[in-house]
Amino acid sequence: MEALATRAWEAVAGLYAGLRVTFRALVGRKNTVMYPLQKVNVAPRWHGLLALPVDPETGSDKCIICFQCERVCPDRCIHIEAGGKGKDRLLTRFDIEMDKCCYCGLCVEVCPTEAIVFVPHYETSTYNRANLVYDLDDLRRAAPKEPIAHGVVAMRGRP
Amino acid sequence: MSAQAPPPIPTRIAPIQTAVDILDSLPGGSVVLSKVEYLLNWSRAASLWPLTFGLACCAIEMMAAWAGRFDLDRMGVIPRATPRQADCMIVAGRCTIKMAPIVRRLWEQMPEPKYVISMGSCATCGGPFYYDNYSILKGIDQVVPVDVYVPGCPPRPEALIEGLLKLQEKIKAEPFLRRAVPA
Amino acid sequence: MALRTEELMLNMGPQHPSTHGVLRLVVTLDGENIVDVVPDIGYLHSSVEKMMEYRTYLQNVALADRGMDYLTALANEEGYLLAVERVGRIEVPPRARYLRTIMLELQRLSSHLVWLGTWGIDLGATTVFLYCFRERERILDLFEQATGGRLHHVYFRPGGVYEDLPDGWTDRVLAFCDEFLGRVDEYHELLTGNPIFLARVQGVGVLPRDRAIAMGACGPVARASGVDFDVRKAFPYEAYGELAFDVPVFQEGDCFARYRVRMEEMRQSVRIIQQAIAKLPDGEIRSKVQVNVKLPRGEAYARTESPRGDLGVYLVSEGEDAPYRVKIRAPSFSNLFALTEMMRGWKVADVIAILGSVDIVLSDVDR
Ligand code: SF4
Ligand code: SF4
Ligand code: SF4
Repeated sequence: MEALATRAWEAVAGLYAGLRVTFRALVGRKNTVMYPLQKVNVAPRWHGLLALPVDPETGSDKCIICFQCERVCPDRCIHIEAGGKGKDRLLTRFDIEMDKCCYCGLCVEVCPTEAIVFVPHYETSTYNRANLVYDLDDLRRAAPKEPIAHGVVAMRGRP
Repeated sequence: MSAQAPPPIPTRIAPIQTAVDILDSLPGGSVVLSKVEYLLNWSRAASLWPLTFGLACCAIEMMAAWAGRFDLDRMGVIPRATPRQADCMIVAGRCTIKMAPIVRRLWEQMPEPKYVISMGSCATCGGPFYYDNYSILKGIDQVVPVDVYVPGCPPRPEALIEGLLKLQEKIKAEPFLRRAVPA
Repeated sequence: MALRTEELMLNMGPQHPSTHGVLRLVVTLDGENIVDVVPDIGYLHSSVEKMMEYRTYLQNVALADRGMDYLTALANEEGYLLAVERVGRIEVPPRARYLRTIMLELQRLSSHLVWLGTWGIDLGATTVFLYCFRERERILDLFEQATGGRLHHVYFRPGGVYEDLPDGWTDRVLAFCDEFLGRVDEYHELLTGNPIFLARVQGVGVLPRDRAIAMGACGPVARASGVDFDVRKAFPYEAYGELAFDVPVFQEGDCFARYRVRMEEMRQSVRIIQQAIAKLPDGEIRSKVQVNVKLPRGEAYARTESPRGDLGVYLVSEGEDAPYRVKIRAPSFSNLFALTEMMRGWKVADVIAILGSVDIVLSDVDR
């Protein structure tokens, strides 16, 4: 009988200790980010979407067609082709298969001119896998190819 | 495997189909039907219960999406561990050739209508394991039809949430009652 | 007529909510008692060892993150790069060594938090999961600020680390450390005082010391069985030789001992982080190594203490820019096969408790 009482007391004490933690969490700081309404500010180093942003001064990207990023990519998902000679060398193709990319950042590291960079976008989901191949225009735009879900947009537009 | 073919509608709901056809042929019936359909789609989209198919690293981010910070439960998305109670399947992570038949079987066990979200580069197309690899399936869409692809390695929990919102949009736009019955 | 009984074969997994990945356990049952457990692995075999032979030393860092134990990406990088640096005799500058130590210990915290949270779910204590992931998100935020990744960082490089820390990062880490010690107390309050939890784990799944050694168990599992061995102490690497910390060892060998070892390890990790930040030297973060590093002929074995145990990487170089062979000795693999020893004789309901307490990650088992 005594043992039973001890066990019952232990159970109540344990429950009480646990509930105290719960209560502290209840009145404490809220932790949830209401995602479509609020957004987490991703860190500047966040490995988001890759892009070749256009330099406003020259009106073009900074790529010097050195193929370093293509060579270093562990997933071989960058495909570069260039035409012309010398000063007229021009990018004819710069595709990144965003579905194969593992967002490792090695291409950003080796690029000598910082032409290829990470942009803080992560909402890249799509209905069609073919949409995940980003070509030169998409990369220069530095934004997801497919529009973000209406739900997100509509909710964010709310006052 | 003809994974991309639309799955046949089970014969059980044939009476509903007949009722829908009759209602559709009545004057003004299609308006009523549209409203009913809208209501059904809205309720389906707002309580999407996924089967959490956690395979690899992405599964950890999927768990994080249900944890306190992102709290996917507030969108009516409640994780299920059994395919019989699930509306959609989140395949998170790389799928091996050994695992592929099991993914397929669990997908077949889900009741109609069912959807698949492929989370992460690996489930989308093999990702980092695409080349020089003998064991990883090159994309989950080789065994099950995928509705929404969420790329990333791993995608942030927000990216998964956005993928789910995209799936909700797809569901809301579906002619749920009036879809064509395969011959 | 005597009643005939027969043993029942039960398949757990590969898709089971609490097998921590894609593991199939073939459990032989006599009534409710476990007669035998045979793990069937290979559902997540990603052939990283083979893939590494086709990728350069730098590219393999990205692969080591994912292909090996995905909860401890930085510990994998460390194990792999230690082998690379030993073969190539590459020096790591002191600041980089300290940075790596801080990152490794933060990684240990985040990995143990995932273990605690998921084990809590397995045992029916869902709230613990929410608390653990709350703290884990803060660690991931710190990681994101420093390395750019939440789960997979690709931060270590042959001969150092990629980037120096952002401004104010160490202060944020210290603030987090102070808060975290209180959180560990909170977890103790939630679990250690709870009689239901204790009834499910205390004395369950005992692995005696001699069997732990015989089965090659390592890491927290071995330390819970009374094996006083930690690679960080026995073969110090990075800055561990210069920092003071204790290795918690418990003699009981049951699930509760494994739980207490990890809880104590979290406190020690915080201690290591605080010391390492106090001692953090200035200077270079990366020695001069080209991107396409070519190693001389040779081979090396590097042992590190990943959160799951003794992670070994054996690397053979033939003088090319890619390894000739990489062999990974995965801690989860040897711990998984000690599972049979622990489970025999217990009830079927204990399978989950024991499996969770071992803390295996299937991508580490299968590679
Ligand atoms: S981030 Fe890594 S995987 Fe992606 S394109 Fe760059 S190098 Fe390739
Ligand atoms: S490394 Fe930079 S400059 Fe060279 S090809 Fe790639 S993007 Fe262009
Ligand atoms: S996409 Fe990346 S994070 Fe996801 S399972 Fe594959 S390797 Fe892991």
